[in-house]
Amino acid sequence: MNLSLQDPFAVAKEYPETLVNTLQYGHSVIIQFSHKGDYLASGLSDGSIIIYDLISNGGVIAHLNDDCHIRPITSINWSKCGRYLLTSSQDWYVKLWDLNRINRNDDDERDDNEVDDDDDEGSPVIRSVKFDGPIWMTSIHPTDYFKFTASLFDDSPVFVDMTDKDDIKITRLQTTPLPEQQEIEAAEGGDNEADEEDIKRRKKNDKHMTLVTTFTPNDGGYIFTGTSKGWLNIIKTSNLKLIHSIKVTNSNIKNLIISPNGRKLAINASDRIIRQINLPDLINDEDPDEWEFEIDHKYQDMINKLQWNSVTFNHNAEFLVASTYGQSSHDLYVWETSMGSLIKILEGSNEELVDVKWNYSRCSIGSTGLDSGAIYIWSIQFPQKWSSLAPDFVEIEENIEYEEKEDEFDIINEDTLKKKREEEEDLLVDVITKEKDDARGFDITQSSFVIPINYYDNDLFI
Amino acid sequence: MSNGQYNGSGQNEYLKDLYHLNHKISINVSVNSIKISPNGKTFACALSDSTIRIYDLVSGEEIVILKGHTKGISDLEYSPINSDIIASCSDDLTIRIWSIKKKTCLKILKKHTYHITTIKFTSKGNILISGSADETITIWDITTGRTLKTLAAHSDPVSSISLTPDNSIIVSSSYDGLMRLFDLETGQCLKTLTYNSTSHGTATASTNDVLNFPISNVEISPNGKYILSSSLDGLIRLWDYMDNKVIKTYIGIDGKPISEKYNCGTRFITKTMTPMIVSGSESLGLLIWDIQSKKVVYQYQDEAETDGDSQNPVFEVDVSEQGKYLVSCSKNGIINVHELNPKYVKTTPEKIYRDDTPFTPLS
Repeated sequence: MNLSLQDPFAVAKEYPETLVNTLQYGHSVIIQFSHKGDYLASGLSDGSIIIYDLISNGGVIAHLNDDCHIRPITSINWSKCGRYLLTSSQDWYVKLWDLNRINRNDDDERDDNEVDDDDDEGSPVIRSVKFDGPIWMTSIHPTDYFKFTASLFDDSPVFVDMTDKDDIKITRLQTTPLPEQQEIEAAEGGDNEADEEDIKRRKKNDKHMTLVTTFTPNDGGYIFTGTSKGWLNIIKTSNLKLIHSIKVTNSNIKNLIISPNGRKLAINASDRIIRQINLPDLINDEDPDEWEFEIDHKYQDMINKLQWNSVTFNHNAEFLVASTYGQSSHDLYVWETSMGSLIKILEGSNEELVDVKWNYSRCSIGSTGLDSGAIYIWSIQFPQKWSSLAPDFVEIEENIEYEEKEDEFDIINEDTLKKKREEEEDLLVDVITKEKDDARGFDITQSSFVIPINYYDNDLFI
Repeated sequence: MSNGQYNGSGQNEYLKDLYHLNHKISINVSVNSIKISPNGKTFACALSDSTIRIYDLVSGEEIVILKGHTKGISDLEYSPINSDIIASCSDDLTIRIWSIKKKTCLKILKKHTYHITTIKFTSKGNILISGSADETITIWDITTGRTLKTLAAHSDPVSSISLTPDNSIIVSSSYDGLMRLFDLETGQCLKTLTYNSTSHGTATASTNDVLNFPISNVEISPNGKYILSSSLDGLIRLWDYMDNKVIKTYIGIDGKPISEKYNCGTRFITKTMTPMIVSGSESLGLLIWDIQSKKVVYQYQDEAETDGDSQNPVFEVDVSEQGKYLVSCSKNGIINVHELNPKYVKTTPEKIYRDDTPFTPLS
């Protein structure tokens, strides 16, 4: 509601311009904003997780350090409702946290609806999966927080269903792209003379790894994966079959970002180019042969030939932001995606920035510093209007000649004045119905989980 | 009201059975504030003898007395996410955070340099906002106990503060006759409102030729679009703050002032057919108005007060479940617990928005 009282020109700005805050609590390596944009989770290099409340300008709400990871965090995912957090780490574990179980006092009485999950001594980690190596990253299913995909170090990517705690189902996903598979099959079916070639190819294929995975937004109908040889694979979530493969580049795919509205895909590869692709309508058009993936724009730094560390879209995919590799560059680049032009370089940090995330509804960008592990937040600053300090002040562009109103000094009879007021007040007032959108057009009816606070014992923070 | 059935259209009718008195507690010390817990099980009273008393809402029995403040307590507030936690503010310049079950004070917050008059929690329960007679508003981070911001808010004591439902705007009122709207996050002043007798809200005259009566209380409407302000000229006004306009004015019975001396709290009641407001008053007991018609539809006065010679101002009111329960406290130390007569409960379901449905995580 505060936005509707702010300067409309400042509210209409679509990307942040000013570094407003630096959060430093431990060495942050990865960050993620909650879907509603009111919390920020920060994964630390020691394997614990900090949750900040953004309303109070970065007050720490919780430090998850019991049952936590023991090596740097590699990815953090929030569930839509804001109650669950999925984290992965270099310590080979993926954990699902129930934030309703943190900051609990031992003799706190539990609400009645929580009785169902009070088995193992109320640990906030409600699911935990161990793999055979470090985890590159995980991606949570948009509608079911018990399901996720993960890309693993030196191993096939997996789809995991943790719904049943005692029977966690792990399904391996294919890395070999469809055309190559067909070749292999053809070779196997052929004569013996093809064997040698086949073996060679297989050896080569052994080193073909999936590095990133992500679900399509909204319904999570497809899983997009990116490989070390520049292939983009599309897997149908319902049967986990590889249905489409596209060769995008020849180098590693480092990031695969689908915009929240599902329209655009950004592929950051180690050939120093970010490719922006317009996605086909994956929900209504189910035939993979009909899909076209045409590269809309390529973003690269022609002069410095910078690598991009990390990249992300804003909510409607109109803007793209990327962090840059190297000690010499400390900036974030913001592009406008329809023309592909660079519109802003966000400065202010004095170190290389690694992870970058866009907080959609609050219109701010967060990024982690490589050396200090601090989190930098860029946001839109609203000018203080001095006219708001008194009811009879008005801000004007230039001097204006004051013209006396016709009735300005008329003496009005008390009774007629009273009557006029009575008439003015004779209207229906609705004190109950709430606004559904804020001044930026975001849905504000969405309720979100409120993380409990430890009122009793705050030694941690003192 | 011919057949005793309330049809919602008779806005001018006096509803003598709107509320039913469940309990009357008399403690002979001025009770300055009263609040019902978010889980609806208990209510807490702030007393001038520097104690906090907690009662069971249903049985009316005393549960615990919290002692620790050294001077009278002006206001208290439950944590919206934990009904065991209470914050209180006192003339001893401290804010204390209490655990009811542990019967102890968990934390003491010190910063203000004069009497602290009012406090509010944000809905996540991690931020506390306090208004003081030192003319400032302080925003506290409860998890660290540190102050996030101090707003130089007014030029006279801050009498009351209220928060919009989305926690983005703090509305404050003061004896300097102004209401100010602050952005909670940035601390910027967004707007200033004052009632001006000549131009009816939209002030164009110089501030010298209008006498601004102190504003004693502010309360935000459930949808956050309107402000209900109580002024010591004896009136309550409903403001459309976007438009800088007063859209309703409420007066006491027979044109009597509601309060010219004391800060009497107000609340919205939305469980009834038509929305209502309730306020304490200086000499008329508890008053309830229909929001649209501006008519008094209910009054409750303790018997002793009707003698006329001893006024018993009702200082604070609070409601739970949109008005199903109504509690009030007064200067003479009388606490009343009222319950809404079921026949006036709104029957047609409100349009259900997503935020009204109970929050259940996906399974």
